[in-house]
Parts: sequence; structure tokens; C-alpha cells
Amino acid sequence: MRKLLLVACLLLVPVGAAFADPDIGCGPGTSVWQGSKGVMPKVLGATTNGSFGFQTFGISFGTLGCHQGGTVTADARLRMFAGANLDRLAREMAVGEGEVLATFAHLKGVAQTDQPAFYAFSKAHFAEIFAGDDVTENDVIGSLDRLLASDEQLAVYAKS
Amino acid sequence: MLRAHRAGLALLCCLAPLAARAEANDAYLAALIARSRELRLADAPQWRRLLHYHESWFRIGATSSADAPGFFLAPTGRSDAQAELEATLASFFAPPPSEPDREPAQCAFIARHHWLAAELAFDPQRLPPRRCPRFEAWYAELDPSGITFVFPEAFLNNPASMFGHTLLRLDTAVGEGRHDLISWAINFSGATGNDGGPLYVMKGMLGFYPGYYAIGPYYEKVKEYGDWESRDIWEYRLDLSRAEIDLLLMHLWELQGIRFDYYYFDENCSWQLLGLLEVARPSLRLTERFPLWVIPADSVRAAVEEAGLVGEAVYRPSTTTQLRDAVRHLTAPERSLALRISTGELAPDADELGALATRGRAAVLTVAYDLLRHELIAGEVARDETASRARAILVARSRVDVQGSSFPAVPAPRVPPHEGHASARFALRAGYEDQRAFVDLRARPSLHDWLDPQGGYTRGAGVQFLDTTLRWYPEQEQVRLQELVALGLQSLTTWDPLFQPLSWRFDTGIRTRLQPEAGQSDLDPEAVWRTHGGVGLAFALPRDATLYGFAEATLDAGPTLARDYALGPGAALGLLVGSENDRWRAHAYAQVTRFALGDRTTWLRAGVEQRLTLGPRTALELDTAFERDFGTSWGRVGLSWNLYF
Repeated sequence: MRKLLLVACLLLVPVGAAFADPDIGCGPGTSVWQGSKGVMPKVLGATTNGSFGFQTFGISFGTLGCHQGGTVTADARLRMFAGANLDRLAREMAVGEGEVLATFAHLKGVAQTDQPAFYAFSKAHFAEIFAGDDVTENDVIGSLDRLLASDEQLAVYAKS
Repeated sequence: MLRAHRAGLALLCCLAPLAARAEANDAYLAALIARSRELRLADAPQWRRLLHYHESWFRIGATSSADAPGFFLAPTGRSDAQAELEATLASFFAPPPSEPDREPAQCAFIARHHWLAAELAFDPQRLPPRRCPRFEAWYAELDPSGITFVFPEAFLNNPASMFGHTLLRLDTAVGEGRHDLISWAINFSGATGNDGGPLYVMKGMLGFYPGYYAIGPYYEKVKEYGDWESRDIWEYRLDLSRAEIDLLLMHLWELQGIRFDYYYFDENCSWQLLGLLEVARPSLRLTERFPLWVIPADSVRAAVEEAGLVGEAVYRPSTTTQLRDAVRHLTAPERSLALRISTGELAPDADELGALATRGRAAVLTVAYDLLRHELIAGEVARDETASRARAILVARSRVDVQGSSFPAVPAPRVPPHEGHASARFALRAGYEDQRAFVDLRARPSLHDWLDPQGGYTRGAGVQFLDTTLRWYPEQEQVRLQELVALGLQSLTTWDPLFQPLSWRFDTGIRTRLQPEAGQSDLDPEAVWRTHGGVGLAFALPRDATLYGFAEATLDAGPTLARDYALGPGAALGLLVGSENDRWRAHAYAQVTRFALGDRTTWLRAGVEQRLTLGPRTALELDTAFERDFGTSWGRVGLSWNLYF
């Protein structure tokens, strides 16, 4: 398994315009409001229907991200998703609705009956969850868990 | 002596079972091979699909389109299906490889094993099935329950994307509903590195790029197409059974790291995906419908017709589409506020905002954030300058007591892509030009222009490839190549005060200019190679009409021109109107070019062309034009019958 991870990390070395951040989910995290890192394919040849780092995923999941003990943990999955979609997550949390937010809640294990309360909670505490201009998904999840712990209904989802 | 004998005996005793097993294996292998020959399995469609064998029009006999030696176990495996089958069977008996990260053949070629085991009824005693833990872990991770054919529509700013793209999505069955963003996407594309320009185009067309399959989270594709490239996405859930999906995944496992030469026209993403679907359901006949080229939209049509759809096609608008739609819902003062907040001119908690009702405040702040993000993605603003502004806008929005989106979902276009007109068009046209009767035969392999039925195609976009017109003048008994548009591209994006998009067009190809000949009364049609481009603006008018204007430049090259060329600036103006049901559409235009260098003259054309739809595949076109070139004027009228196929 460890060899797989090593091979995987090598495969994740950027090919061309490397959007795929090899540390998503397990490393220091990606900062919010990055946009596209400034590279907009307006020029002939910049994209070819799918090579912004997607190719680096190969076929097998060794390349997916972090393995902690051989399987991708739920927590790693949550962080990877949040890291890759942090901008949209911020927007939808502030609005209180959205597909990324719903997926995030699902990955966090929020039961469907608790989801409306979760959305309202995260909207109400948005400024504390996204506490600064440079927060990463790890900061966001950390702040969220801290705040959830003090909410009666949602404390069960505070995992940290 | 005795000791040697004893040692020898001991050795024999150890080796004997191994030898016996090897013999038994050989015998069983021979039996399997004999049976496979009896059943003619090498000719079975499924075997050929697993090997990616295709008939080629310039090779005799079928060969595989896979270009990686690792895909074949026999040295002649690329063209000899029988040899490959026998080598595959033999590989199942081989001992597992010593390197820990290499799989036994039964697992590395799991789909082949699965199929051969069923066809030849492998005896589990004589050829025991192996566990394939890596495949099983991978399969468990994917947890598939359905396959969706995904079609991001055309993106005209990049030739690789101007016909659209196709990929597959593996839908998971999640307990409390599906979450498509975390589904897995199967994508085939060419690895082009950092090439650009004409080199990129040439290499892509001639198969110089390697293509590979990759799997990744669907949200990455939604970001890439929907956010960065502003392409709307259509999702077609296909009617494949669980067993068929399993077969597809087993085969995908075999395709890890296998290189296919990527040919832009015929062995591209869509062709590959159709091949995958054919492996899943051998009765499908998809790739053979496309002997010469395959356009993504056509592959969607084929898959939908043959594999069947579950429910409706799902429309996933890009963030730009959503933003443009949201802006339409704002009043003019709200729009202005949103713009000023997005540029930082106004703070998100300014008094002007406080004066609005809660609903209006929520809407303005949402649009202000989306505008800022749009600028960021387009590279117009830098992250460091705008991150705190982005956060401030969202904080303000979070404090407005409106939970949920301020805008209704963007309505899906009436016609989904697979119901648009067929991609090839043939036309028969008769008319008069310069008082001479003519008959035109016109063939356009792809794809679409402003006059064609608009449904199912990106609004305002036009792509023409190898649009060829042969003209016959019956009285003069003259047949000539009237026109051959090698490539034509048009992008009309209607202007709005927030985005201020530019429209543009470009074409290059053989055109005919009527030139006066000394001592003759008739004008002489002469061919030139014309390259022409323009940049301009388009405006939306009531009743779905569009008004456009371009500043243009034209370069003509041809032996009949003085100094063999003509170059000059020009202008164009036009109006597009149509009936609401799109049965009728008209285009009125005026173009002028002042050729200032080379063969100097002024060229002018003005006219009206109209299209009337007759049936799902047929239409009538009427065009009238006035033209002036080289100091002489004439008129043209033509009536055309179009067939889409």
C-alpha cells in the first residue's frame, strides 16, 4: 500500500497546467478564493477537453489522495471535496443552499432531517467559519466543528 | 554414490508434483485452445471489442486501435485475434509475477478472463479463479449503480472543444439520494502538454498525441467545463444493467495506462466511449456507424438511440449562464449596485444597499459576488487584491435573512443537443447569378450555421468544416468548384452592460469572385483562397432577434488577382430574425471590403437568406443577393433544398 501511495504521489507531479493540488485533503490545504490560479484557457491549445490535471488521476485510486491505513477515510473524503470546491462552498453557505453545500453536508454525515438546520446554522455562523481571507478547508472544517459542538441539535456532527 | 542418488531422489520428489502440475496445465491449456477454435471465439464480436479491433479503410483486415504493447500478450496480438486469445489463455496459467505491484494476468485482464471463463466454462479445479484484491478495492470505491453520458457543449475559443466533448459518469447509489458531484467521471483525452497554435492542431489531427483513460471526481469536470470554460453540460442517464456496468468497469481496469493514439476526427473521446459501451453491451453497434469521423453530439445521439435513456436529459447550466440569467432578474438600479459592489467601489454594507428590501439586498449581494468570481476566473483581477472583498460580500449576504437562492433555476433550452438537426447537410440549389442559370450541389460534413434550425446547438455559434459547393452552369456547360470552406467559425454573444462580450468570426477557404474579362461581356468566375475574420458586437432585440456589426479584414490569394493577392479592411452589419417555433429564420446582411493592397477594389454584398423547415430532416432556403466587385454589379437568387443526415 505504501508503495502505491509513493507511486501515486509521483504520478500526481503536475502535468502541464497543474490544477490538481497533490496535498488536497492531507497536506496544508488550499486557500479559498483562488479562482483558477489565473490561468484562463483563451489561447489555442490550452486545454484539450480534459487535461487540467485530471489525467493525473490515472485509473486506479492510488492517485486519489490520502490513504490513511489503506482506505480513503470519510474525513479525507470530506477534506478533499471541501478543498477542491472551497469557493463554491463559501458562496452556498452564505446563501444557505446549493449542490456543493448539500454534498458537503452529506459527506459530513448530516442526516437528511437535520440538513435544513445545518444550512441555517452554517449561514448564521458564516463569518466565523470562514474567519479570514486565507482560510483553507482544514481551517473551515475546524471552525465548523468547534461551533457545532456547542449547538444542541447538531453537536453530534462535530467530529474533530 | 548412494548419497548422490538419495539427493537426486529427494529432488525428484520435490520437482515431481511441480512437473505433474505443469503437465496438467499444458494439457488443459491445449484443451481450452482447441475448444476456442471449435467455437471460433476469436471471431466473436465481444472478443474483438475487448481487443479494440476495428476495420480500417486503409488496412486489410482488422487491427486494434490500442497502441501500447502492454495491451497485447502475443507478439502479433495487435492484428491476430486468435494468437492473442491463445496467449491470453496461456497467461492465466502463468505463476503470479514476483513484483508486488504487478497483478497476475487473470486480474490485469479481468474482463477477458471473465468472458473466456464463461464461454469456455473454465474448470475451477484445473484453472482456479484468483482473487483480485486491487480490482475489488477499486470497484468497491466506485460503487456504481448507473452510467450517465455527459456532454459539455461546444466551446468555440478552442478548436479541440469546438465540437463539444463527451465523458461518462458512474452514478453511485447513495442511501439518501444521489450526489452527482462526488460521482466518478471516466474521461478519455489526449495528453498534449503545452503545445499550442498550428502545431497543436496538426498533431491532434494526425494522431501524434497519446490518449489515455482517466478517472476522477465529477466535480473536477463540472469545475473545468462549467466554471472555467462556461460550457453548459447535458447529462444523459443510460439504461445499462448492473451486469453491463460491471463488464464496462472490468474492461476499464484493463485499459489502465494503455495508450491510444488520439486522432481528433475519428479516434477521439467520443469514439472511445462508444467502444466502452459496446463492450458493456455487445449487441450495440455504435462505432461502426462512424467510419470516417465522429462528432461528440452525434455520439450522444447514437448512444441515446441505441442504449436507451432513463428519464430526461438533465441540463446543468454553467456558472456564466446562471449569472447572465440572474442579471436579467435584477432591475437596472440593482444591476448597477451589484457591479459597484463587485468592483469594490461600494462597500457591501453601504447605505444604498440598506435602502433595498431584504429580497433585493440578497439578490444584489449574490450577483455582486458572482460577478467578482467571474472576473477572478477570467484572470481579470488578482486573488490577493480581491479575496477580502469576496469574503466581505459573502459575510454581508450571510447576514441577510433570506435563506436560499434569490433566483429560479435557469430553464433548460427547449431542444436538448441530441434532438438538434443532424450534423451533416446536403443541399441542391438552383438559381441565377449574373443572368446565368446555375445548379449547385453542396455538401457540408459538419456542422451548423446561423440559419440552420437552432435547437440543440449553442446559441449564436456556427462551425463549418469542409463546406463544399460544386456549381454547374447548364448553358455554358461549365462545372467548377464554387466554394470550399475549409473552416468557418462564428460566435455571436449578445451584449449586456455587465459582461460586454465581443462577438467574432473567422473563415478560410476557396471562394469564387466574378471578374470582368477584357473583350467579354460576361463576368468570369475565378477562384481565390479567402481568409477572413471579424470582431464586433451583437445585440439582442425583441422577439429573439439579433443585430450584429463586425469590423473585418479579408485576405484573398489567387493567380487571377493583380499581384496574386488582395488585402483590405471591411465592415459587416446583419440582422437575424426567426419565428418562435424556429420553423422560419431569416438573415439580412450587408458586407463591404475595401481591398487596399494587391488587387485594389471594393467588394460589396448585401442580401437576405431565409430558411423554412419542411420536416425533421429537410428545409428550404431562399437567398437573394446583390453583389458588386471589380467595378461591376450583379444579382443572385437561389432556391435550395437541404437535407440533414
